[in-house]
Amino acid sequence: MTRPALTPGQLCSLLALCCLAMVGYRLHQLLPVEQWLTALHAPRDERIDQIVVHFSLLPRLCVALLGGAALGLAGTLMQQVLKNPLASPTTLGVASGAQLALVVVSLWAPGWLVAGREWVALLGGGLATLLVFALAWRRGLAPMAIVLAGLVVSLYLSAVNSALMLFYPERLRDMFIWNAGSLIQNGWAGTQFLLLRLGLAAAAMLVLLRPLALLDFDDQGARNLGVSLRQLRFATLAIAVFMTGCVVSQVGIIGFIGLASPAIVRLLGARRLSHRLRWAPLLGALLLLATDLLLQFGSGPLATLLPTGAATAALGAPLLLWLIPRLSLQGDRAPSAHMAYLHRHPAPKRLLMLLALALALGVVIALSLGQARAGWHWPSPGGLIEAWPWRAPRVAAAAASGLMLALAGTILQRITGNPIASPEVLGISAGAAIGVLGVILLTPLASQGASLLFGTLGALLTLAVLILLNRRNGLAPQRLLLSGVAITALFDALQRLALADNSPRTQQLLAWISGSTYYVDGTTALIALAIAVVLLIATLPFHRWLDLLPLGEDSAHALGLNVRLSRILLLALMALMTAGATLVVGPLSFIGLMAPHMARLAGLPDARSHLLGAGLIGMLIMVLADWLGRVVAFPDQIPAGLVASLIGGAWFMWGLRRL
Amino acid sequence: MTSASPRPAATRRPTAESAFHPLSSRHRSWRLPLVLLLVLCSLALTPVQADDTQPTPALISLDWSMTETLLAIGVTPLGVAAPESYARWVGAPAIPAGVHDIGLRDQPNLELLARLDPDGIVTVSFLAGDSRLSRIAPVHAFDIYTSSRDPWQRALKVTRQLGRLTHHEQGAERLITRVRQQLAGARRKTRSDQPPVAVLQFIDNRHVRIYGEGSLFQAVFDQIGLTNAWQGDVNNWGFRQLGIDELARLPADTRLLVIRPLPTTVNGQLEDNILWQHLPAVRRGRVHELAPVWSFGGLASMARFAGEVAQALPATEGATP
Repeated sequence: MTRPALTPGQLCSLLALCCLAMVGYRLHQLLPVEQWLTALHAPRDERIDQIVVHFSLLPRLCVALLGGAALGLAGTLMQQVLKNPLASPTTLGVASGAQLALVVVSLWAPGWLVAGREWVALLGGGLATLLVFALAWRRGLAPMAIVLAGLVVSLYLSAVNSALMLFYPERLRDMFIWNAGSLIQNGWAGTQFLLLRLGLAAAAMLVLLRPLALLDFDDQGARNLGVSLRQLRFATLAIAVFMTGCVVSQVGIIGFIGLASPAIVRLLGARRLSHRLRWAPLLGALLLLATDLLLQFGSGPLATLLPTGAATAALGAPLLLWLIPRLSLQGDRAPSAHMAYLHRHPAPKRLLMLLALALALGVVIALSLGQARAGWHWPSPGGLIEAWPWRAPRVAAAAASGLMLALAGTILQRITGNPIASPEVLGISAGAAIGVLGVILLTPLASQGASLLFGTLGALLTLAVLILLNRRNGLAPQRLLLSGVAITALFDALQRLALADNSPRTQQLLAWISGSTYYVDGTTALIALAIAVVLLIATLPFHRWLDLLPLGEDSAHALGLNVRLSRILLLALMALMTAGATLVVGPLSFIGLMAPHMARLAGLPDARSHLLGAGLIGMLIMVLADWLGRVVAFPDQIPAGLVASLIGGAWFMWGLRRL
Repeated sequence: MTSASPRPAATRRPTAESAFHPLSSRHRSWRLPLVLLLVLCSLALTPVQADDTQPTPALISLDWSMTETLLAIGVTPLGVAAPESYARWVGAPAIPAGVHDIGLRDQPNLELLARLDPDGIVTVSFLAGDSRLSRIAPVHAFDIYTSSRDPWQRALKVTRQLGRLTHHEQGAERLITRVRQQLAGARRKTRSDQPPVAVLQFIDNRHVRIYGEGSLFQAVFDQIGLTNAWQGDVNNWGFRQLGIDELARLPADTRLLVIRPLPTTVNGQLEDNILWQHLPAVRRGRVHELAPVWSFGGLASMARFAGEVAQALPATEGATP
């Protein structure tokens, strides 16, 4: 790597100067210079401007600095322990665990909140982290296993969370803001809370400093030096989680600081742990402070609350995208051995027939079995005809999107040779969703055509960005995946920003994001189905490429394949399918991840039967998810995308545990 | 006559929200027949002046302000959206037993709607864009909260339109008269030199919603002669989310009206909220908690709020330092 243009110290000084200037300007806005000192140490009760400076502005600055430093420190620790430059508090499920816990408690046990929001948040974050650890336990808490499990747990908990916010928008008003991380303060209590707990955590960390530094060597080396790796990882992660939990419970979800500041510091040449531990917290603190100050100036004219946490995430995501090709990633390859469960079903044709039969059965159930006021019932033939126009389009749309996502997932997993690749994970769904979100928020009239167009454009643009950024390393699977995670995070941030407004309009946004077939009418369903079938037919001839690509670039090349061309063609097909499906069921579902997995587990290793099997499974799950969503909470309806991610996420977590 | 037809102005110029959902196909085709139908209906109704003896149509209400207004003019709908949450957030008038729950406001259960076979569906225009609703029954979209920001006038109009639609013109007029009386009563009780008031709801102990131009609360203030202390920008729904530090920008003599329910984390915790305690209004004891009012409600909610305000303000007048 070339020598970086800046040292971490220079960058921090630069940022600190900017922050100082902004703080000065902000103070100047609020108070005449001669009163600054009074406001600082002894504000007069009857002077509200001094009070605001003393009890709002100053604690807000402190909380920004403390929170940013804590997240930077937590990120550094996590990255050191997991040996993964992309580990961070938010990617390990801590934030979403805390978030879900708060939602659940405020709905069903609000009394607990009085005992302390922070304890509920800590409990939730801790439980989520334990779940992540449990899932990765079998593999000795190996770095990649933990990050994977964290990602899946995060997505899963967010899905549950969205479902609850969809049903109780009025009661969860605070969560809409908390999700987007607001640093606004109402006194010094938040600062004291953070100072005390972060101080304790930092002290505990000092004890671990020496063994942690040994992790700069490889695992074997560290073990030879007498370090119990499992205990060390556990203790360090526990400290990092505790710090994250404290910050998150005070100010909500702050994206990316924990990920970006250690990564930037590393990029600027801080290689040794002691170096990183010095600069990453400082950079994190300054980054968060700078963002927060900028937003304080910006939120006036915009007539809306601009929460800082979502903003750092939105600003951080492009930064991460830029960083990824520049990071040196240890072992730049897919997590090993995943593609290895290659047992083959003795009669793939019979298996496919069985799956088709199951799908037919599922469709029959979805069309006929329903709930009414009197309870469950099979309708009479007359009732069936009556219900047909309401159920058929939804079943068809669910099947179509399931098929498209499953095919897209199969293609991706085979191209990248990575079993956790999927349109959802790669950010293609998120790209499509950003396109649609843009149309919805920025144009007064969002027609269906415009949404489809911009959704597809979003998916294609995301794909182009992915390819451009990763072109130099020949679309290496791992980096593709990481770029995808960054794009998903960008969408997540934008969505949080949009939802923080919590007006009647955001409610509809939430409904769409959750992925419902509710809005599909007959025509749309037919179009979706037709597109799905056409794309299936278009994909099948490429099955030889898909058989060769997972063998690795060299082998595929040796067997006469133009690797780059075939990858780009297949990826374009995949983007189309993803955009189509995302428009119908939103960006959340796990189908693209799960269906190809299940088909492979069932013993369909060759590309052709893999595609068909995954397609059938995708359709089956989606149809059942849609049906469940329609009948379980009757007359309310749970979006199919949510149900699918609940089922799929659970299944996937179970699968992870066994890997 | 036709100017007062139930055909709302809002459907003619679709707002951003009417076509909000990417998949809610906006078929204009249903509108023309619907307009004709409604015009015919209103023409047919004119000769029979205010005849409450005609059978009441079985209506579905997808919006709480419509549900509230229907109940207040004496019409029990066949089905309503989200009745449980209505009971919590709107409260009165209560929904009688036997009214069908037809699902969420944004996503009513269409299959159930079709099975109930209503005579009409009453909703707000940003939820009325779904062509499938009009296949089930004629859709009547009424808006109280629009970009014209005159909820009082619109609430009067919507109440009358609902009265005509349900053959309860007299019920509608009775409601309007009652509400006018209540507002006049509130106006008499309120001193004319009353300092400005601000209406807010706590989101959590650091954030509030403050209501301004275009909100229910502003409409009531206009009617009873109060000045809203918050003159800043608000969103299309007449509110803005703020950090409580920004409440310091309100005029020093402002009275704060806090709409209950308070979130659990705020209720009983305000003593520890240092910034809140230092706000001029709080220090002078000029804070009043009011009973819950649905902030996007109709006439009945407005009257209830007016009553609450009138009761709260003079009662503490003597205590003002």
